[in-house]
Parts: sequence; C-alpha cells; structure tokens
Amino acid sequence: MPTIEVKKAYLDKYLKPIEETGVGVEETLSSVKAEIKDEDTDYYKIDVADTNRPDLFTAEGIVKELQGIFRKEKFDYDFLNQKPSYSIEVLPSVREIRPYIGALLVKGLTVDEDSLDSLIKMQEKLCETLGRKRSRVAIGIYEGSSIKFPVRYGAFEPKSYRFVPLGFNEEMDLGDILKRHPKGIEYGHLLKDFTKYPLLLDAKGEVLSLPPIINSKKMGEVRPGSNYLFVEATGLDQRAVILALNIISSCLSFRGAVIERCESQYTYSTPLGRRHPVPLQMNKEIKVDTAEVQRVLGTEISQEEISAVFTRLGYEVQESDGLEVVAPYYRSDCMHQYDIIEDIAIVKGYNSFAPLPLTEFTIGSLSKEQEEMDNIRDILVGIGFQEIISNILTSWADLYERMRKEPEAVEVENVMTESYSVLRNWLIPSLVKVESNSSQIEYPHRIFEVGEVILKQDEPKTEIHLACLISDSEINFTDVHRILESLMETLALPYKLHDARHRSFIEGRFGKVMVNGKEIGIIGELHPEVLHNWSIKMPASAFEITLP
Amino acid sequence: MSSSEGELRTVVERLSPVARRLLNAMPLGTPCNASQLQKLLGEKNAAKAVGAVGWLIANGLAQEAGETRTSYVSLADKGLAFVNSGGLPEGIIVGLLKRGKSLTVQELGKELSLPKEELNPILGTMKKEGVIAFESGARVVLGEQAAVKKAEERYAKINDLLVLVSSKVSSDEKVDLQSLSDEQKKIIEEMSRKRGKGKAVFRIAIEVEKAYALTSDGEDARGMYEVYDDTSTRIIGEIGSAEPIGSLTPEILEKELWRGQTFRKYDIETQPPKLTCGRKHPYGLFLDFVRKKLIAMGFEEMEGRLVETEFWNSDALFMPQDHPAREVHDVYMIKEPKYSKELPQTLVKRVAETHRSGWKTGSAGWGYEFDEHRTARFVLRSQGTANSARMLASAPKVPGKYFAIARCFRYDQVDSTHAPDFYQIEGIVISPKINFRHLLGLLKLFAIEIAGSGEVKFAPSYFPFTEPSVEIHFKHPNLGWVELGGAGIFRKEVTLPLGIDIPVIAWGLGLDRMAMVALSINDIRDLFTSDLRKILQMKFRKV
Repeated sequence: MPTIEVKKAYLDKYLKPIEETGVGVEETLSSVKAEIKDEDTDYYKIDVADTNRPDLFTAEGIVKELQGIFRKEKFDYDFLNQKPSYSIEVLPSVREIRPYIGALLVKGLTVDEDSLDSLIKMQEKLCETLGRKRSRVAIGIYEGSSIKFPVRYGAFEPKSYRFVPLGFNEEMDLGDILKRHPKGIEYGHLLKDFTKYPLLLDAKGEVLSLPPIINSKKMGEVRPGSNYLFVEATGLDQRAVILALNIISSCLSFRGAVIERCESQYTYSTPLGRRHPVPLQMNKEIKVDTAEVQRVLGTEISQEEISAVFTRLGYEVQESDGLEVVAPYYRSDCMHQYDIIEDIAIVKGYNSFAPLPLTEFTIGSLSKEQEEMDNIRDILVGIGFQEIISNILTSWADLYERMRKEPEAVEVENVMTESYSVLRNWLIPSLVKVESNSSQIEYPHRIFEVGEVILKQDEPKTEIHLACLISDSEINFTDVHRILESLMETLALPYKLHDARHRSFIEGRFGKVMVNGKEIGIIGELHPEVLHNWSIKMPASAFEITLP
Repeated sequence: MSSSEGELRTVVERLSPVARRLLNAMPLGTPCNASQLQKLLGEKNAAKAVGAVGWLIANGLAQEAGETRTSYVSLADKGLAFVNSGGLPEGIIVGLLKRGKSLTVQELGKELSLPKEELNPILGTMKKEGVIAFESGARVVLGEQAAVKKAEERYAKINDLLVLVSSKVSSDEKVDLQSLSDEQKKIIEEMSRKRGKGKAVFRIAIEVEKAYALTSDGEDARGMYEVYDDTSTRIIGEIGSAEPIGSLTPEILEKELWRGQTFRKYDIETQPPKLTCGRKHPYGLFLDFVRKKLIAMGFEEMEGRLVETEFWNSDALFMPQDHPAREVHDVYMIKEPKYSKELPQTLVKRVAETHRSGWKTGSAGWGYEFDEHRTARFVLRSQGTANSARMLASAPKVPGKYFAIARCFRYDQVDSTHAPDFYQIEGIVISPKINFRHLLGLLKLFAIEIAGSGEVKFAPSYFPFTEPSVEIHFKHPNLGWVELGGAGIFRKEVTLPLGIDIPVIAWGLGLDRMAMVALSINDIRDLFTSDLRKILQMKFRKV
C-alpha cells in the first residue's frame, strides 16, 4: 500500500469546503480509499489502498477525485484532442534496451516551491510504484525553454558521450556515471546486460539525460520560477509509460498548466503503432447496462443518475443507444463493467445503502479436521494439560540443532530473520521451547499443542499433529506412556510401541507408536543433551502423533 | 484483642485433637520450645508438635515468645570408646586388681589395650587418690579399702551416666542437662573438659530454639475441652459432648462409628494448596468463539494448505504476476521443492487467458504474457482467500457459505504489531441472489455477532480480487472506531475460470486487534508466546 506525502495547506484548502457540508475528513478521504496515517508540521502522510489507481498517488489526483465526488466539478482535458506540436524520434538502437518513450510539455504555470515539491514527489512515487523502481517506467523532468525539438532517443556506446550529471560538477562518460554517480550505483543494474546505454538528446545534440539513471545538469535541472517544463518517461511497458505521463498531465492541468502534446515517432512497430501522441486516451468504451447496475447495487437507479455520476468523475459519457462510457484517460483500472459500478456506489455514499440480510438457508459445520482437534483438546484439558499455540515458522537451531536431529524440513528461500526461516515438521521442539522459557513456573508442567506441520515432499504436505510433554523432578517414560495410553483408549485406537532409536531421546526409553502396523508417532524420555541444549534443568518426556 | 467466649468456643471446636491437647497441656507463663512441647504431648515426633502449635498460632491462641537456650549432653569420642570397651578404665583396673591381686603396669596396659601415654596419667591419678599403690618390680596393687570403696561408687555412677547418655542418643533422644541430678551435672561438667593430657568424655552443646507461649485467648480457652487421650472417644468437656470426628474414614462408615457423634468443624476460609488445571489456550478460546459464531450463522468450515502454489495464492485470484504484493518482499518463497507438478492444467489455461485478455469474462484482462512456469511456484500461503479459490473450484454447494481460520505468512519485519505467521479469518458466500447490499448486511451481522456492536459505518475498500469492495468499522466502547473487516463481490475474472457463474461474496475479518483486547495483551507476538507465565496470565474475556 503506497504512502504519499501531501502538503497540508494544499489538501486543507480543498477539504474545508467539503467539511463545511458536514462530511468529516476521514470519511471524505475514505471515498478515495485513503487514510491519514501520520502528519508533521507541513505534511500529511496518506495511505492509499487502491494499488490499481496510481492517479491517486499524487496530491492533485486525490483532490481532483474528491472534487468530482463531493463538489460535482468536472474538468476538461481538451489537449487530448489537439494535434501534437512537438516530437521525439526513437532510434532502432533502443528497441532491445528500453523500447518505449513518451513526452509532453507544460506551459503557463509558474513553478513555485510548493508545486515543484509536489511534482518531484509525484515523479518519485510513480517511478517507485507504477514504474516498479524505474524498471518498468522512469520519468524525467527538464527546463523546457532551452530544448531544441525534435528530441532524439537512442542507445550509444558508453564512451561516445560525456556530460555533467545532476549533482556533479565534472563531465563523465556514460560508463563512469553508472559506476560513480549515486543514482548510477542504485539503478545501474537495469542496464547491466547491455553494451549500449539509452540517451535522450535534443536537436542540437545536447544530452538531456541517461534514462533511467540521471538527467544532465545543464538541460535537466528545474528551478522555481520556471514556466516551461519538458516531461518524458521511458520504459519497458508502453501503456505504463503513457499512463504515467497521462497522470502527470492531469495533475499539472488541474493546477492550471497548459499541456502540449508531443508525438513519439518510432522507427519500429509498437503495440500502439509507429507513432502516437502523449497524453493519450487508451481506455475503451464500456457499455453500462442499467439493469445490471441495479442488480449489483440492489437499488433503483436511473440511467440519468448513472450518467451524471460518471460525468462528475471525468468519464466520457455517450447516451445514444443505452449508456456507453470511457474511463478518464489517467485511469487504467476499468477492465470490466463491474469496475465502474463501484464508482456509482462511492458517489452515492456507501452508508446511504440499506444493508440487507442473507436469507438463504445454509447449514454451518466444523471441518472434520477441527472436529478431531477439538476432541483431542477436550481430552487433554481433561487430563490436566495446558494448551500451547506456537509459530509455524521457526529456526534450524530450535527445530534440529538443539534437538540433535538431521534437518529434513521445508525452508524459506527469501529469509527475513533466521528465527523464522523454517517450517516446523514436528511439534515437540515448540513444547521444549516453552519448557526452556518457563522454569520459574511451578512444576509439574503438562503441556500440549495440536496444530499444523509441513512435511517436505514433492508436494509439501500439511498434516495435523498432537504433541504432549510432561516435566517434573520425577518424570519418566511411564508417566508419558500413561498419558498416551489413556488418550488412545479414549480415542478407541489400539496401538503398540516399537523399540527404535531417536537422537532426541534416551536410548532404550524411546519407541514408535504403531496403529494397525503403521507408524503414527513417537514417544520417549528427552535426552539430557537435548535438555542441556535448551538449558532445561528438569527431566521431561514427550510424545507426538499424527492425527488421522 | 481478646475474643468473646462464644468465639473462642468456635475456634476450639475447629481445632484438631492434637492442637487441642497441646492447648490444655501448655503451662501458663513458661515459654516452651518444640522438644518441650513434644514431651508435653507425649509425641515421638517433634514435627507433630510444631504443626500443632502452628495451628494454635494461626487461631490466635499461642504466639512465639522469644527463644530457649538448652544445654544438650552427648558422648565425646572418648566416652563412646569407654562405652564400647566396657566402661571407665579406672573401674576395670580396680576389678582386675581385685581378682589378680597384683599386676605389672605392662600387664595392665595389655589388658586394657591402652598405650602408655594414656595409661600412666590414669594410674597417677588413682595413686594420688589412694586407690592403688605401687610395689617393687612396677607391680600395681589395690590401696586402702575405704578409698577403693569410695572410688568404686563414683566409677559406677559415671558408668551409669555413660550408658544413659549413650542409649538416649542412639535412639535419637536429646539429653537435656537440666533434666539430670546435681551430682550427674557435676560429673558431666567435669568430664566434658579435658582431663590433663586425656580427652573429654562428654560433650555439652547449647541449642537456641524458638519458644512458644499461650496468648491471653489461649489461656482463656484452656480447659474449654478436657481431653484424656488421643484415642478415647468419650471425653468430658465443658459442654459435655464427645470428641468430634475429624476425617471421615471408610472404617467409620463401615462400622457406623459416626452414629451419635459430632463432626469437628473446619475453618473453611483456610487457603487450600494450589492446583494446576488443564486449560485451552486463551487465543484458542477466542478463535473457538469466532468459529462458533460463524457456524451459528450457517458457515461451513474449510481447511487448506500452508504451502500453496502461486496459482491458488494469487493467480486464480486475478492478481497480476507483477503485482507489488506478490514480490519477494511480501511473500515467502519455498527453497525446495520449488514447483508443483499437480496443478489442474485446464484451470491454469483459463486463468492464464483471463490474465492475458479476459477470456470469456467480458474483461479486458491485464494484457500481459502470463508465466505458466511461475504459477506452479511454491510459496507460503499469504492470504486465506487461497482456500476460497480452491473451494470455488471444487463444486461448492449453492447456496453455500464457507469460512476458514487459516494460518498465513507475510514477509514482514517481526515486531509488536507484525507476527511472522498469524490467523486470517475469511470466507465466501455463494448465491445467485446476492448484491452489494447483502455485502453490507453480512458485514453488519459480523459486527453485531462477533464484535458485539451494531453501531457501524462502511467505507470503500480495495482488494485485488473483488469489485465492488467495502470495509466495515464498528464503534468499540473504549477504542472508538475499529476496523472489523472487509468484503467484496469476487470479480468475474476470479469466479468464471473456476467454474462459478453466479455472484460470490468474499469476506475477511481482521480480528487480531480484537483478540489482543480480549486477552489484554499489547504485543501481537504474545499470541504465540512460549512463556508459560504469559499464557497462564492471559484470560479470554469477550469484548
């Protein structure tokens, strides 16, 4: 779930009029699935739940959506119909490296500290989330006035160009930047498989940037006071590249900027053809069936009402033959009619719907596994045992080393901490761990756990086990055997014990529990070496069986 | 503070017979130590006396009264040797001389098995006292008859004393110096010092012991019941009753000895010894409570697997394969084995096509190339919804309601709010008739039944596999608004490929916070603690 930072003054300006109508801030933000998690003097930190709505990962995006939901304000994005007046030429050399690019120009908005701050936050958040840490999309922002069009995008030998990167004062070649610049070190892995690196050059041959790493200092530094920006995005996913620029254009347009489109001109074919302008509406018409909307929402709602909601939310609405809508160009989450039905419920307000009870008759029941577990829990509590519930993730040391066993359990590949890196395949170590942490509790200790374990097989198997452990100054095999005996008698399961060896237990005081000739468990007196490994000073005996 | 006669009577009635006998036997004004009390009771075992006086103290009838210093006599090594060799050497010498008239010093040493350095001082003393005399040739003869007779009397007394002390000590009785005659005391005091070069015969040890005396209540209570002895049944007391029965025994019942008798009254407020009882885990009780509620609402319980494939964990739920929540930073991957060979290939093909282009669902799909190798990858179940996906694919009942309390795993830094594995409570409702308002109705029912609060509000929510989605908050008396859970209608991209063509509600409850409040704990890791003390302190209270 992304967390974004929004200037308090900016958000408050829009929230206040809504608050005056009696809708609290929390409720207002919940309609865009957002929530204030934290705040400092200048910023709110806002969690945005809908990972499919990167347009809401920006301050302007949230405010714009709220204006639609609460203020019935509609915004036009006329530039979507204008002819592009600028262009980027894409050379064949980037096709295998980073094939897609788009760009746009931003005019008529004097960038101040606040809007620049918001723009940079927007750029970073989109690169991180939608852009998957710049691998799928990386965004660059430049002072536009000095760029000569058409801009060219191609890939070049590491030593063929030298420029001063942002944050440095010396000219470096492309290879050097990857090796020495902090951003080169951070993102260089994205280019490690290639012998040529992407470059963005203007018509005069000035380097704008080395995507997706760093801008040039000369062409790519934006300062407050500028009123002409060039914004580009490159990446591996064409739709995501365009979506990022669509979002940025909608946000800056909302702030009052004039957006001018730029055409990407490819020398190779792409899913969107050899040339397309940016920003670009990529969404298709969705037929909205009023009856289906009524059925899903369980409420009477007219086509006019539906149409009004979509208009407010920035959809293009056509009402010729039934209702047809196109989602706003900065959204990519509308794959299905059902995706947009939720928007109607949100604008109407979830709390305005009267809840309905489920009326169809169904019979509730425990799973047979749980029924068996509950039966066993009842028996053991009756014998005087305390139930334990432990973590399923554990460590090698606990599961094997301390128990003197050879490893045979399922391991986690991406380990976070050693303490939780293996899945338990038997329960006795969990109970022994309880003993090692509980010596100050009055003896005798009689504890058990019924729970899931994982067996390492071609298809790892989840089994339910029961383990019992008793510990006291005078405890031996007979004491724990007595418990097993009375349990098996209660379960009406005749069993036998077979002599065997197990390094966790004392030899000659250990056996396998056999039912119908099949091994279902183990029983024994814990070996003093095991007790020593756990710093336990009290004898203990235990058994463990697999539940049928 | 002294008690009324009636109160005292009740107290005395409840005393055990031993305590009552001791009460009557204790002297007024003189503190007694344990062995003195033992003697008063005529008991062999001091522990019984200590126990009895403990009861008197507990009932305010006796109290500790300073200490006693008692001198106890025992035999030193020399004394023990004398006892073993037939008595004082002096006495033996006189006896030998009486029979043999005269012996040489050498012959005496041989008879007594005494080395010269021990024998010589003895003979020296005896000569000085006139008991013996020396003749030529170092022969020893008896002295004057009067002196011999006097000495013999003294030797006999010492020998008697040696035997007395020796026999008492060997039967574990202590010999109190004060209990002996003055003459005996004098002998012991003399002989417990070194005799010239010889060693001490007796030993005196001073023991400091606690002493007990009756309180004024105790003095008043004395004689309220007169007691003859422990075994007699008829006893004369002030109220003229028989000694009441203590423990009821099979013998008393068999022989009907209880007829006509009274029963000793017990102090029922006495703190009994602790008993450890078997208990279910408090968190287990909480989950049982939720389970019962769900079953009462008509939900059938599902089980699942801890190690899942990406297919069931995410792909079947229409989460795109590059979804941020599916990265190695969010889901635990299994090291070995890595891939399942048992995926249902027809379903995999449908799901793959749905991700690519929507298949027959009417959706545009995600528009990416689905990785059919990756879908078989083993991961630790990260969401209980995996169980619901499996249920949908296995011909569920229609209408049907299912739930699971499933252990799930998330790749999180473990701290007081993040556990490495935790229970997720989630489920589905399958029915052709359900809509958005039923979603709200179901969540509200959960709030009433499980959280015990009808005061709720709904908010839009997001789950990758439902549309529309909603979350519910309920008003908690202490915590304010608390999120209880969320629900949504499964996307067609989820249900259709699994063979379900009617609406399915998917719901989930986030009950860990509720559980922590119900169990009064602040750290989520304590739900699975291995500290028995914490488990025993946890109590499940419904919230």
